[in-house]
Amino acid sequence: MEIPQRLHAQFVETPSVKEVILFSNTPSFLVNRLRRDNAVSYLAETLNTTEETINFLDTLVKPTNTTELLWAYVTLVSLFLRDDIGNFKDRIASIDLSHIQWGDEIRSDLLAEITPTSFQKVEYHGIGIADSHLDATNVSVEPKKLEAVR
Amino acid sequence: MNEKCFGLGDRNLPKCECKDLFERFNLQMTILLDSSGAPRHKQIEVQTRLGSSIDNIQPWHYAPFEWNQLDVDWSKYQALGAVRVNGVCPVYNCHGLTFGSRRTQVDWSPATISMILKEDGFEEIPYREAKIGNVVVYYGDDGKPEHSGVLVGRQKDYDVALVWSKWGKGHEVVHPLGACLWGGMQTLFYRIREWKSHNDFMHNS
Repeated sequence: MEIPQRLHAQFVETPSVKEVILFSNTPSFLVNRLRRDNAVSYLAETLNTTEETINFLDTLVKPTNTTELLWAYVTLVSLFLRDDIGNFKDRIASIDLSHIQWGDEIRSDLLAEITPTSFQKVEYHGIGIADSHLDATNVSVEPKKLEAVR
Repeated sequence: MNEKCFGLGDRNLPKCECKDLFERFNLQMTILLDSSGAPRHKQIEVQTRLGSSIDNIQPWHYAPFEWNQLDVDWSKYQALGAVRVNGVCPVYNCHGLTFGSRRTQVDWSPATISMILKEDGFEEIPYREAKIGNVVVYYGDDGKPEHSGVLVGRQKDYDVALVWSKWGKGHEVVHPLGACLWGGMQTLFYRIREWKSHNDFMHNS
């Protein structure tokens, strides 16, 4: 594992990250907790591009100790914070994550998130704007709220 | 045997068996270790009372020393009354403790946990009726089982359930119901229903 120079280990190898990795029972719990963690935000902000993040993840796919495992999870989950991973779908799908427990499940969740989940045409009759439309990707729309708009 | 070989195994001296021994050793290592040199994960046969196979995995990666590198500040849980009862161990998870006698990591999927609860004869009970030995399952917002444990008592002053559970790859912990990472989640309690035979069970379920 070679950490890019501008990434400081103390901001990634934090007690809260260690706790989540050691104590998580499921991949969904691990992802839900890590994606809210400052360490993941820090890594996502410090590595400028999605490509750079994926390249870094490529160096972590065979962790030889738990510290490397920690970096692998943080880097993998940081991809959830990227808004352009749709452009790297094939690249992400081709990474060998078999040496990271739950790696495949986490990737499945990641790729599932970039699949458009709804397309909703909304008409604003109440305020006199008809035929406006909203292209929605990667969002879920609650039917009850839409009813209220209508 | 050729004493000039010194057990190095690569000299091919007459009557030397070292090379064969090394080849056999390497073959065994290939079975035991994966391509990265780590011990292979294993799966064992675990069944429900009704004989359905329970999906599971025994991860053997990394030594205890390595897992201890992830050890965390325990004081915040200690202050809430949680007590660690052993060291870290990645081989079994919470469901492995609750439903698998510490043998393996039991699959965490809703389908598996619900199958175990049904086929082992568990029935849901109200929190107030839960007693020592009953099982608690913590469910996330999406209804997926995220954690489980066994009731081992109640706190004297507050009547809060004390749970014995395994925290991921970490420790077994005895803790008040909410004093854990899964504290904010919905909890449901189960006890084994008394039944005499397979037919009775099938009839009553």
